[in-house]
Amino acid sequence: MSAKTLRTTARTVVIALILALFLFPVYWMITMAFKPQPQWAPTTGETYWFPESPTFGNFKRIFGGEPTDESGLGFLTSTPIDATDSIITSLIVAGLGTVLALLVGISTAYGISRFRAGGKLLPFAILQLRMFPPIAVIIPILFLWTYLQLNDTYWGLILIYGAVTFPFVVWLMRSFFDEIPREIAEAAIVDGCSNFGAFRKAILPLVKGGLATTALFVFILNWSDYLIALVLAGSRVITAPVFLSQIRSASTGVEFGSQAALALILILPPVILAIAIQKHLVRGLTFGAIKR
Amino acid sequence: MADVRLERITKRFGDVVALNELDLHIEDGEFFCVLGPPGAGKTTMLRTIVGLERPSEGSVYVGGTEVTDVPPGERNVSIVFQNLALYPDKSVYDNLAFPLRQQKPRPPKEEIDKRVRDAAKILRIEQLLDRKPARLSGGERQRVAIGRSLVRAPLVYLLDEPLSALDALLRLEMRAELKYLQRDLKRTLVYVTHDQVEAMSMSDRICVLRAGAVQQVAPPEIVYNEPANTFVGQTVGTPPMNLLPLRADHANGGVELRSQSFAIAGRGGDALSALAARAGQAVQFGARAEDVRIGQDAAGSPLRSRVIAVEPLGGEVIVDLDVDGHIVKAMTPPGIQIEPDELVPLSFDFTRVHVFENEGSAVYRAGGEAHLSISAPA
Repeated sequence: MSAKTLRTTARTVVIALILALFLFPVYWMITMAFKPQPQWAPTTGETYWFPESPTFGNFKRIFGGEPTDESGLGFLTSTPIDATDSIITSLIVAGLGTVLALLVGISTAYGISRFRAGGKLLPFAILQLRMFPPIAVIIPILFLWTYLQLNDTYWGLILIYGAVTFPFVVWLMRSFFDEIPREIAEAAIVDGCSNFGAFRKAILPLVKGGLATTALFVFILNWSDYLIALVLAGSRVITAPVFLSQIRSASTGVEFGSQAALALILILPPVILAIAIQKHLVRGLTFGAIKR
Repeated sequence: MADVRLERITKRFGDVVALNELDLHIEDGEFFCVLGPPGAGKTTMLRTIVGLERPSEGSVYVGGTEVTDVPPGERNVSIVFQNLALYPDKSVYDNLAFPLRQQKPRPPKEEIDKRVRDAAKILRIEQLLDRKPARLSGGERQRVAIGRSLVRAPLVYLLDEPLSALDALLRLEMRAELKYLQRDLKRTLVYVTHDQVEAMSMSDRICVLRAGAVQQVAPPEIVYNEPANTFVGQTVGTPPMNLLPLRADHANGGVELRSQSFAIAGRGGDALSALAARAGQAVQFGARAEDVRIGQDAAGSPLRSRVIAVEPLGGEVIVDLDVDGHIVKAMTPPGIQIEPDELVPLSFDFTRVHVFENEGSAVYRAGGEAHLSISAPA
């Protein structure tokens, strides 16, 4: 075996190992979602690598179906549950939180990039917001939110999601704006646009790709949040991840099968979003604007 | 009627003075070149005229109206940026239509279409209207950028080094085209460049800029033949004007400019009084390469100089010579028989030489009654 093929083989093996490490939980979740109860909670200590007699029972269960007693022992007794409301809640708070972060973040990023707004301090002041571990500030925010009567409300979650992901929007969008030569906005201004007109008509179309990427990234962050939704809401306003963590029954404890089924469903919105905007998920859109 | 007037314009960026009390009057319909090295303030000057920079002090007038505080879009001045700044996501058609679509009231669709196609026709880019800028060649992008400033028929066109990214041949072609275009449009055009050949070949008048200050404003031949100072002499013309440090002194009722191995004697004429007034001071003697005489043309000159290098350029030969430790470049006809290290007689065409004070301003220019001649050192 030559040195080259050896190297290639070694590289392939390493890549395969890393991939396995990352993909195994996904594999486990997908198979789990289709396993009947005795296979995700085997009393025999057996491990089922692949669902035998796959079933949609777990999916039916999380959308109000009667809990099935696959074991036939009559143990499974718990109240019906329905994840629909929590999914809608998540879509609303994650979606509007993303919109809020984008609106404020894009304006801030453009101001920093184009007009050096806030000097050198502001960009780093915004960045350091991300350096706190959320757990460190969540309790003070809880007090604040309670005082403002935002606790356990849609607006409370939308506001905090917007605030938490706003620094990401600023830093991502800023780098996209920085890539655009300032003469493009200036050309638009000389052509008769206002500052905002130049931004909307000349600059925004150029950062569509970056905007799509940022929106997706921020949406995933908001969508997958557990901690904030657990602390600042959770009684009336229940997001899907919080709902997921609470699926349990008297007989089996945590219902891993149903949780896997819901998790699988929760993966869908970001994936659908990514597919919908994938043609914008490319860079280099400014090519040709300037002579190099 | 659309002249441009800059009155005592000063522009500071923090501690940096980009433009220093600039006074300039660009005439209506003129092809006006601003020439200067990088960092001289050329681009800042254009950006001040179009309104992208507000002067720290002073006023800007376009067509007799003060526009210092008028937004760029309302000045009726267009600009072609050095990097062109086309809208990369828009087709050539939409790039050209963009300025028209911003006008208030917005012209009807048919009129926009007509004007876009007219401009495209003038610039011969009609077949490219559907393309995106990324799919254009450098020369085509150049035309689109000029077209975008053409469509709205502004009073004044500003161009910032528009040809600098083109290859030499295309640049030559575009140079001529721009000149014809401006002649047809009969509009004021301000053209910024660091290339003195562009400035010399295209403009009605040249403004030489240095460190934010105007050095000279004059037609190309005046700038070339009568540079206001050493900077202009060395910026305009290739090779740059030769400069030799000499010492002015009184001698035999006239003036003498002395170096180690030769002297230049002046006789008669009022023009020399300025030189005489600088007796005892250092001055700079300036002569263009084509005004340096060597070999047989300088027969009789007491000055002998050593040839350092010979650069044949085809149409002429540049000879580098050592004069008292300074390099003097002489331009001679091709076919001259000369070798490095040879000692040749050297003189100057004294009807075309200049003397500058040590700080650079011209104090003497050949012509009139006065007469200079070369002689052995005293």
